[in-house]
Amino acid sequence: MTVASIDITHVNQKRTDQLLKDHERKIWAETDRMFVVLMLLQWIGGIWAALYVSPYTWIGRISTVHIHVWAAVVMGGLISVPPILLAIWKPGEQITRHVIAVSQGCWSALLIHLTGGRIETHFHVFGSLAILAFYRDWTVLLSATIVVASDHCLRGIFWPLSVYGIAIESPWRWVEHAAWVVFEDIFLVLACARSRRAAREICETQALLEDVNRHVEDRVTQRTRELADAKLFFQSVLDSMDSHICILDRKGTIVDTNESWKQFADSHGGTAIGVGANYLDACRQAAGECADGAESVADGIEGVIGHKLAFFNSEYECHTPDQQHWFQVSVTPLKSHAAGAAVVAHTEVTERVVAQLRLRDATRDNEKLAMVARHTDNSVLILDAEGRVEWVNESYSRMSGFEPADVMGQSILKLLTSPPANPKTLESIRRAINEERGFDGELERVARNGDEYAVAIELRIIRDENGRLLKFVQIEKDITQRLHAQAERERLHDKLQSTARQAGMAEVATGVLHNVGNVLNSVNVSGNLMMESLQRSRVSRLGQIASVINEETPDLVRFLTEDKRGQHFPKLFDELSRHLVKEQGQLKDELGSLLANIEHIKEIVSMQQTYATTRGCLEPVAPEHLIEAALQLNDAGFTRHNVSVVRENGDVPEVLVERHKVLQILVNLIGNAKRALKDSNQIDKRLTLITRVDGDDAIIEVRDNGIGISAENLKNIFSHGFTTRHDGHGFGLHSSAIAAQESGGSLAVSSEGAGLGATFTLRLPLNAETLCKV
Amino acid sequence: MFFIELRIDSPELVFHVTIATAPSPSRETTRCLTLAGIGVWLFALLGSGLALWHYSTAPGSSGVPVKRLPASEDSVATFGRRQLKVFLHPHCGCSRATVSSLNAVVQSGDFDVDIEVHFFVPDDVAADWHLTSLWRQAQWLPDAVCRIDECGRDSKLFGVETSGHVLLFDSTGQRVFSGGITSGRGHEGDNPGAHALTMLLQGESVDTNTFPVYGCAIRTPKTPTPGRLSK
Repeated sequence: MTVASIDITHVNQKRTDQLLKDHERKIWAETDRMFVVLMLLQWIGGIWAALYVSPYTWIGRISTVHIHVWAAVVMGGLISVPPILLAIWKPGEQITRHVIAVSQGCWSALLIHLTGGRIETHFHVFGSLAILAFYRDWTVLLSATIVVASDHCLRGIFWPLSVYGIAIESPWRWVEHAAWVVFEDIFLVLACARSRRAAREICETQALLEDVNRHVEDRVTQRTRELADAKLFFQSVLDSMDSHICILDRKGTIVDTNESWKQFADSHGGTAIGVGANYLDACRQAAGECADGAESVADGIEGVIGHKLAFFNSEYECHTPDQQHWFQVSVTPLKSHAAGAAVVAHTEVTERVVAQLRLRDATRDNEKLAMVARHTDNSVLILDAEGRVEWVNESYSRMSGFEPADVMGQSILKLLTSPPANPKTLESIRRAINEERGFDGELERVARNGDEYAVAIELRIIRDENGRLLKFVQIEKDITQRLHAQAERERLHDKLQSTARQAGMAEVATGVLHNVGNVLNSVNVSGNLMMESLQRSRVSRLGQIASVINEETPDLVRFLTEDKRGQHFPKLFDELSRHLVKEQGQLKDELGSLLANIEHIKEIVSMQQTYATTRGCLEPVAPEHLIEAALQLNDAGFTRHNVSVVRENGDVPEVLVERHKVLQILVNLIGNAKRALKDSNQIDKRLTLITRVDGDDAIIEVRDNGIGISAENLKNIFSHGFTTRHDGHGFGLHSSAIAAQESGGSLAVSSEGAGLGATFTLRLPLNAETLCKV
Repeated sequence: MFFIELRIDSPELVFHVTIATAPSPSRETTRCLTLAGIGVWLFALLGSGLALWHYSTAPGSSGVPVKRLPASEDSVATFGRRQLKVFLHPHCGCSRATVSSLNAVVQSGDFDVDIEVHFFVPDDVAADWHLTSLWRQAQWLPDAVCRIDECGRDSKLFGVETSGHVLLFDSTGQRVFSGGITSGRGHEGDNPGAHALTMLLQGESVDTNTFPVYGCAIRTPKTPTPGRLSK
């Protein structure tokens, strides 16, 4: 019979002997130690016995320590100490146990003597032999027996009564005693032999077991090594995987992980998801974006561990603030592992998911594109890298009259030359194909049934991720209707332009009339004033004075000096001259204003004419000068209506504007303000003109405290045709707003409401370009 | 073992110290030394055993025991009766064997003899000085009377000096036995003295009626003796 490859029938004798020797040595050493204690006890016992039986020896009333006590101490020590020392120094040695045997025999003799030869003390001999048998060495018994026999022999010869207690009849009585000892020895020897034989058998069995064990251990070591190598191999395999893998026990506690898991745990959770942590608890306690996914994973794990699920797979999102991540988790049961119940593997599948999403989007886009290509009214052709037709849509067939089979595989150039198309366009297409670039153009075509149609060709390049040409896509849009419409539109456009020109001219005329009308008011006023002034003029008094002087000419001196009437003539001449000078001045002012208004009318007409065709010329103008010019054109009205004009001129640089355009705006604004003040019941009628700078703009404010503008009218104040005057036309502010925009600025109005005045704010850029066109 | 070697190199007086270990004694030498030690030990054992044996077999002083019952002891009560006198030191351990032996002699037959055990009690000792295990053991002797021998007057009267000395007087008051009835100090068991006493009590004659006494001295010597004075 063999166990593994060991033959158990062949016992290792050498090992058996060694084991037996070690066993015996161990027994000897243990027995030696036991005898150390026994020797000490005997020594103490001997001393006690001596002290008990005969502690003192007396001489009358004087006592001394009995010699027995000294014998117990000295002889007891002499008997006990050497074996004790040997047992400590050389335990298990042959000499030690023989000395012990001799000592034990000596103790028997001493105790017999100390107890006065009590027969009971003789039993110490037999007891000692039995204890010496513990050595399982019959030679020890021999030593003790020799000592006892010798003692009995010598005592029997010299002092038989001390050993036997009776007077002996025969000197060979000691033999009888020795025989009893030998009798016991025989059985003790037999027992020793039997014990030794049994020990040998045990040692043989142990040797055999050791061999088996060694072999098994070797095999186990080898298997363990192989297992460790295998484990290392599989651990290396696990560690080489990017997936985060852990093994859970039945309670969900992590018992092992791979390197990826360890790194992830170190960076994201530490000991919370390390070996020894409960992964189920960690999943259930997860928070944030991953909480839902973690909860699902925990349920799956519990299902697999509880054998409710054969396996569990799931994908979940776990995004970070700066990046999106998707993971796939799989939980599979471990059936043959004592410590593990399930394997959990988390694999980042972000790339795949992103690719899937992109593919889905691309597919969706492709489907949409296919749908578009299929259902569009445009003709779509897909050409290969050489420009041959690979696919056409239905619209191509509908447009050209050719079926896909008619054109598949043909060169696009050939299709476009049949029937011939514009050579220039064809050449451009050919070059585009050869040069692998796009093309946009229009082409007239003839359908299969002879109908002419025009298409807008859009040729585009499709390249792969490496930039290599894959396909061409040509989209042909039927532009026949568009061309027709375009022609019609052009015709209508011309007509419209003509109409618009006329309308523009009408608007221009309207503007001219309006602006001229405004100025004509001033002209009218100036004319009326001049007429009134002339009518009031005292020039007629000169005639009267001249008549009187003519009458008194003969005695003019007497008339001037003595006549009461004549005495007033110098004073009269003085007053008349001052009046006429004043009148002249007023007339000159009014005439100047009239001339300025007339000039302004000319400018208005000129400006409107040039506005109709081209833009005017920008020139640098100081805003306050424009204000003054505008005031001049409205001055008569202010004076007559007791309107005080307040000027608040800031440090405003010159602005580049069309002078008269801006002047017209200001004339309109000031004219409106004047009318508002005229209609107002204000006692203190005031027109305030402010110039200032606001950022990059120059601001001119025309503020009045007249009738104001209601909130409702403010909304439409600049609308064409809107007016609150019964005699208004609604063009002034509209055209002023347009003119302000054309000057690069803006015109705004604000009013607190009816009766609370209004403020018009003209904003002009300080950095306008100089543009002058002849 | 190890030894240290010092060496001085002159004239620089440089010391060289060498510590070396001597080679361990050979196994054979160890064995020889062990055997020699055992031999010495056995010799010592034997010698001490012989010394002990010598002491055990050394009798005490026999004294000069009276040949006849002293007149003070001769009375109407004792007239015509055999008297067995035993003199004991109450603290003598060896005398236990004497009492045991005496008990064995007395028990061996129905002897018509008055037995008196005299226990030495010195003066100026405690009242219970004599009440020892020996005294109690003697109380158990059949038909034995224990007396206190104050200051050893009785032992002196009878000429006895050693504890365990037994005197047997016949009915006429003649001493027929003197000596110990043990084979050695404290040794119980059969012995010639006990055997002879038994023979005499049985009315037989013996060849020898004087035997050595093994026990402690009864009376305190006049000259100072090393030892502890009992009180």
